Parts: sequence; structure tokens; C-alpha cells
Amino acid sequence: MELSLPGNLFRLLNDTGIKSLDQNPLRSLGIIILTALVLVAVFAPYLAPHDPKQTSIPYQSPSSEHLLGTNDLGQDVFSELIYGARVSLTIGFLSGIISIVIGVTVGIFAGYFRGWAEELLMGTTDVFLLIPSLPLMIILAAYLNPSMWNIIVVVGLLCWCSTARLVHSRVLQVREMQFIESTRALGYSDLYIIIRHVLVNTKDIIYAKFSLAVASAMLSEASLSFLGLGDPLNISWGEMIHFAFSRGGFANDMWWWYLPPGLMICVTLLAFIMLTIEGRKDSKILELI
Amino acid sequence: MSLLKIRGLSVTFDTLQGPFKAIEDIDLDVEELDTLAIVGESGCGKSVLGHATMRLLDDIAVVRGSVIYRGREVYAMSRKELLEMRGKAISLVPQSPSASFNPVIRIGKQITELIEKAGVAHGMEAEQRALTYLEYVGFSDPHAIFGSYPHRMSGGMCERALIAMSTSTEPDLIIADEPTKGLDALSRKNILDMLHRMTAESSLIMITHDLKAAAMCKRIAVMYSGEIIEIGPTRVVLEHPVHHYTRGLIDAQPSRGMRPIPGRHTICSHKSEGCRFRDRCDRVRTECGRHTLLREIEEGHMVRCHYA
Amino acid sequence: MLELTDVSKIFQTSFLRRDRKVAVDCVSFRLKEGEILGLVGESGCGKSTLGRLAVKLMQPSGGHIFLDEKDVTDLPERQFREYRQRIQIVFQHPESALNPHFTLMDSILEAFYRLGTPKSDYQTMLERLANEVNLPLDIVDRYPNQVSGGEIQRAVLTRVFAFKPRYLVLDEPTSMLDVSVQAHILQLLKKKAREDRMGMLFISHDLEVVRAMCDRVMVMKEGRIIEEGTADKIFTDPSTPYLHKLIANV
Ligand SMILES: Nc1ncnc2c1ncn2[C@@H]1O[C@H](COP(=O)(O)OP(=O)(O)OP(=O)(O)O)[C@@H](O)[C@H]1O
Ligand SMILES: Nc1ncnc2c1ncn2[C@@H]1O[C@H](COP(=O)(O)OP(=O)(O)OP(=O)(O)O)[C@@H](O)[C@H]1O
Ligand SMILES: [Mg+2]
Ligand SMILES: [Mg+2]
Repeated sequence: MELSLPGNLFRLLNDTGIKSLDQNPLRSLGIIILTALVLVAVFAPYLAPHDPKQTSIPYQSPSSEHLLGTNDLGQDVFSELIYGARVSLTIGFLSGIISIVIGVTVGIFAGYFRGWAEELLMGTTDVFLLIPSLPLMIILAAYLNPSMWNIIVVVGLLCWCSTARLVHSRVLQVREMQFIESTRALGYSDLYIIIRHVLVNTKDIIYAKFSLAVASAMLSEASLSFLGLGDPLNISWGEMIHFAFSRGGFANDMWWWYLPPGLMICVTLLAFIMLTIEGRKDSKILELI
Repeated sequence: MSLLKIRGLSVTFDTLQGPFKAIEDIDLDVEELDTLAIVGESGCGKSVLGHATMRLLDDIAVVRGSVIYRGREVYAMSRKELLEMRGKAISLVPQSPSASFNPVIRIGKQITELIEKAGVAHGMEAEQRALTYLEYVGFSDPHAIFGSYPHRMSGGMCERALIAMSTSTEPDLIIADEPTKGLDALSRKNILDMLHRMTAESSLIMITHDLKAAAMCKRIAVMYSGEIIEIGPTRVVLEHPVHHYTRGLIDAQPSRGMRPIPGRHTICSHKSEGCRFRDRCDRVRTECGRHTLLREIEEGHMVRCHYA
Repeated sequence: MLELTDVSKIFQTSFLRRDRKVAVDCVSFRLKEGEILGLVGESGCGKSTLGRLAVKLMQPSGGHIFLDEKDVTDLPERQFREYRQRIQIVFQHPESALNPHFTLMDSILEAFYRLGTPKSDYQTMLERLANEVNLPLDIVDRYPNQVSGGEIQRAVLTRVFAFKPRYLVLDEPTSMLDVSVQAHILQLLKKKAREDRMGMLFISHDLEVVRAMCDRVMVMKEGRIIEEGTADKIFTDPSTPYLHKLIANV
């Protein structure tokens, strides 16, 4: 209660929903896990016990020297896992950002301006939605060079459609609200209204959608990598599974090789999904009456 | 046993300037079939009192005191009991009609849903009931309204639809927050007549700025700055007001010359002791710096003033 | 002078072309500077729609709007924007006229930005305006759902008065105010009309208020103006039975 924060900071905290975290344990858990993962990725060189490229005796099972054993080339799986976090998270975040930026822009312009712009933009979205995206990704990834940046762009460019749809339908609601009209009456331009008024009223779904977009981008990347279309220079978790699979890790039941990257993918996805979980949100109005 | 008994109810909001007491130590009794009007300056805490009675402020404010409905403490009810009570036993007509409806669901559906939720009627019967109540509030073509969207209706139509919605469950107590605002003379009369008819079977707390509408209630409570400063039978209070704020309010009516009470109600986080109206009162004396309680000056007429 | 000639508005209420609602039907009036023109009528007769048409927040289906002798009916929004400061509107439901994610202060400051007021003047200007409409300054950093109905209503008035508009459409500007604050606001409006020569279209249901405030009064029914005249004439000698009924029910 006795908050001595300056007004703006207090409002900022309030806006992001941090104040309500204590009522939302799942979301806090998600934030904690993700923060930990990002820290691991950033400080990978300090945390990894070995250089992931350095080779030694292959197929060692977990020991105190190699916490998660070694792979077929004798590389330390634990260190590989830590460096893999960098690759997986980078790909996830960058593709997520690309898809969100495209999706939000398309959704807002279509919803706000209506008319032919809406027909055109939402038509395009529908076309993109109809394309089976994983096969297309596979084709694109196979024809382009297998580099991390290509994967980021391909995944980002193919994942924005559902965001566009969601933002579009929210904007259709927001534009009918009276404060939009009353801002127009003050003589403000449409661009100002979109940036200052429409965006803040869609930000909750943008946040949620961003975290889901990152999660789905990571999943797409893992699928592509598992199929052997990943960047061999930047080993991600998906690729670790791919190598474990293609080089006999599964067949010889070397769980320390394939299980950890699989678990990491699951935990990260779960953490992103937990971020989007809303606390119990009572519709006040229905209760009012 | 009275229907609703409010004792020492205080609501404190947490604001940037520190805790802010919107209402303080409210005591109020509402008997079965009682009608009570609440009037007072804008921002004095009338709506907050209405919401606190229904326990709607739990998660945004600190609420102290007790609200006892038919012998049961509202602030000790479980979530399920609470949901059962709201709507069916006590229902609230919120102050802002445009914010209370979902703009993209048809009016009729929203009303029917509420009736079914309250368990008063189901299916076709619920729809029929919704139509009946839409007709009660003065729509000549209830079917058209039943199927229309809230954002396509005018302000007064929304207000009336809201009243139809809140009363359609025939609750024991209706808390109506400014039910007549935005209504023309004919609809206003119609709504007041309807509320009056309903008071044959239920109690009514009407929060209003319209002193003429308040006259239909048996009792009236005048609030100022979070406190009840005068309460009594409507005729007595409106014709022989004792507190100087009440007098000022009555003189500010358009028909009485529209004289505003001089000065301004100051909101301060830590309200000082003593009469809160004393900065604006023209009969202020040294005594006014001391706190005073509501005192009964005649049968049922209580005033919070040292010189009553 | 703000002049509307034969303005109509037809709403398409369903996708089937046949379902139409004529909300405003061939309405003409003139609003001079410094004049308070009352508009009364039953609920749903088209008053708010007419108010919106007058400030061009809606495109009329027919008719013309002249602002200071210039026909602005078909002016595109981009060009009309520079006229907007001259003609302002106060909406019927103030609680939805402000962005719920903005504090009252942010919403009021929006008007200041638009005016290009230097930052150093914000505080004094805000204090002066808030004082005028009797808005307590301690609540301006709250969000709209944290203040009372009457407080929002005054915040909306503050924002509009910042522009010093020449014409103002007031759609029930005092519906949520108690009679004392209402009296204060009404006196302020009267003063603005007399001293600042502000022309006002005053939409209200309270016939007593209309009588006390307005120079001329128009009575609307089902989208049409059915009676017009000076306030005294309308109220002492109503010519239509509808108005008779309206007055008798006060
Ligand atoms: N959530 C909140 N946080 C902080 N202050 C609040 C909150 N809700 C209401 N208030 C304050 O409590 C006071 C009383 O508000 P309330 O809505 O009860 O007024 P009211 O009597 O209904 O006025 P009106 O007639 O204008 O509707 C106001 O000063 C308001 O600013
Ligand atoms: N967007 C819309 N689409 C369809 N019909 C509409 C729309 N807006 C208003 N209407 C209709 O137009 C008519 C006039 O509405 P308006 O809001 O102008 O009434 P009003 O005179 O302001 O009434 P009140 O006094 O109740 O506020 C109403 O019958 C309403 O249903
Ligand atoms: Mg209120
Ligand atoms: Mg209206």
C-alpha cells in the first residue's frame, strides 16, 4: 500500500500486470522459468563446463565430468544443451517478432480502415492460413541455404496469420467505442488514434499472441531441424534430437543424448504458454446485476 | 428482522496520493418493502455504497464493517452463495448503461441469460419474461429491441433496457443507480411508475440526483463526502431540511432558482475531524471542528450537525 | 454561424437492404454565436444523432452543413480537421468517451497537445480549467473506472473547454451531476455563451433546465423538428399536443 514509487513507474508496473502476479502463480512461474532460460543463454560461455565443439571419448554415459554424457563425436551434451538455448531462443524470439509485427500491422489496418483495405488484407490472410505451413516451410528451407537467418525469416513470414485475425476482430470492437470518436472530434489523425488509442486497447492480446508466436516458432524450428533442415553451424535443441536420432542415440537407448533437448523444448513452450494464462477474470458486469 | 442491515461500512481505496476513504462508517437499515432514496453531491460515495453492499469491491478496495442481508453476513458468504444472492436477491442497476451491456450480444439474449442464471425461468418462458419487462419499461415494440444490439440504441433506450434487465428477476431488493438519467419526461414517469409498482413486492434503494424522483420513496438519506449527514422521512427532509448541505441542495434545483452551493468539496486523503461541510457552511461555529454523530431530532429523522 | 439545411441520416439496420431506420429526417436549423439552442424530445428520437451530424462525426445521408458560411458537408476528414477546434461535442455517456487505459490527466492533456500549448503552461492551464468546472485536481491521475460518474463528466467538459470552441454540442452535459454542481456548470455555460460568444446546441431532457438556459428551443419527434420557438413561447404556449403532454408530465 505505501508505495513510494514515482507515479509513472507505478503506472507502468500496473499496466504490465506485474502487480497482479501474486494472484496468478502460473504466470509468475512462467516468468521465472523464462528469465532463467534467457540468463543461461546469455551467459552460456561462463556456464558451460566444456566447449561444445571440443571432442573426446564418444558415447560416455553421465558422470561428474560430463553431466549428461557425450555424443557420437564425444562432445559434452550438457554444454551443447546450454549453447543450444541460445540458438533456439534467438530463432524463437526473432521469428516471433517478425510474425507479430506483420500480424498486428495487417490486423489493425484492416480492422480500422475497413473497406477495400480490409477485403484485400484479410483476403491475403485467409490465403496464407489455407497454405499448409509446415510442408511449405520444409520446401522453402530445403531450397534455401540451411542457415539460422533463413529459418527465422521463413518461420516468421508464415506464422502471422492467426495474429492478424485476432487483432482484426478486436480492432473491429475497439473502433466502435466512443473514445475513438471523441478523439477524432479533437481533430486527431487516424494514425495518431491507431498508435495511441487502438494499440493500448489491443495490447493484452498482442502480449499473449507474442508469447504464443515465440512458442510456435520454436516448435516449427525444432520440426525443421529434426528433419535435418537446420543450420549445422548453430546447433539448436531440435538439431540435437535430429543427430541423436540419425546417429543411433535412440536405437542404442542413450537417453542422456535425446531426452534433455526434448525436455527443454517442452519446458520452454510450457513457460511461454503459462505467460499467457489469465488470472480468474470475472466479468464484473454479469455479476453486477 | 430487517432486510438489509449495514453497520459501520467503510471503503478505502488505494490511490497514488495514499489511502482514500470513499465512504466511512455508514449505518443503514432497510426494512422489507421499504423504499429509500440516496442523494448527495457528485463524488460523495453513493455508487461506492451501492457496490459495497453487493460486495463488488473486494479486490480493489479495503472494505470494513458488515452488511447483513436477511440475517446473513454478506462479507462472510462463499463465492457460490454470493453469486446466488446477486441478481436474484439483490440486483443493481449500474450507473453507466453503455458500459454494462456487451455491445456485440443482442439485448434479448443478455436479459434471457440473466433470467436463466438466476433460475427464475427457463427457455421460452425466460424469453417471454424478458419481452414482458421490455414492455414494462416503455418499449412499444419489445420484439425489435429484443433482437437489437446495444451499440445501435440511443442512450435512453440503453438505460431502459438495463432497468428491464435488472428488474426482470424480481429481486427482493433493487439498488438503482440513477435510473432516470437521460430519460425524457414521459419515459421517466413511466420508469418511476414501474419502480413504484415493483415496490409492492420488493424493497428499493434509489440513488438519484433528481429530488423530485426521490420524493416517491418513503425515506431519504443525504450523503456528503462519504458520510450520511441527514436521513429521515422524505416529506420531512425535503420540506424541512435541517442540515445546511441539504438546504443548499434543495435550493440549487432549477425550479428554486439554481443557486449552487458556494465553494467546492475538497477531496483530501486524510479527512480532518469535525463536520466535513464546515468550509462551505454559512453558519459555521467553533463547535463544528469536533466530530459529531447522527443524532435523532425527531421520530426517524437523524442529522449530523451540532446545531440541529 | 453553424447552419444545417435539410440534413438526414438513414441507418442500415440489417444487411437486407430493406431494413432502414431514418434517425434524422430533413432537419434544418441555424445556431448563431453566443446563442443557446435547446433540443428536446423523447428517448430515441434522434437528438444524439443530430448532434453527431452537426460536428461531422457522421456523414449525413442528405443535406448540407455550413460552418461560418462555408459548406463543409463533403469536405474530406483531412481538411475538416482544422475546423474541429472550432466545433466541439460533449457526448451523452461520458464514461465511455474516455480511453479506459488513460488517466483523466492524459485525456485532458490530449487536448493541450493538439492546441500546441507550451509544456510549461500545462499546470496553470489545467488548474484554471479544472477550477472552472469544479473538478477536484486530486483525482486527475486516476483512471476513468476509478472516479464517479459526475467526475468523469466534468473531466470531459474540462477537455472540451480547453479548445475554447466557438460552437459546442452538449448532449446531456449534466445528467450525472447533483443539482448543486449542475447549477454551477449551467451558470458557467451561460457565462461562456454571453462572454465568449460560444454557440451551443443544448440537448437535455430536463425541461426546467432547458427553459432556464435556452434562448430558443426545438422539439424533435421521430427524427423531425415539430416545433421551434423562443423558450418562453414553447413552454407557455405549446402548439402541438405532444409537447403539451411532455410539459404536463414534468
Ligand atoms: N476504484 C477507485 N479508486 C479510487 N477512488 C475511487 C474508486 N472508485 C471511486 N472512487 C472515488 O470515490 C468517490 C466516490 O465515488 P462514487 O462513484 O461513489 O461517487 P457518486 O456519489 O456515485 O458520484 P456520482 O453522483 O458522480 O456518480 C469519488 O471521489 C471517486 O473518485
Ligand atoms: N449505429 C446505429 N445503427 C442503427 N440505428 C441507430 C444507430 N444509432 C442510433 N440508431 C437509432 O437511431 C435512433 C435515434 O438515436 P439517438 O441516439 O439519436 O436518440 P436520442 O434522441 O439521442 O435518444 P436518447 O434521448 O435516448 O439519448 C434510435 O432509434 C436508434 O435506435
Ligand atoms: Mg455514482
Ligand atoms: Mg441521446
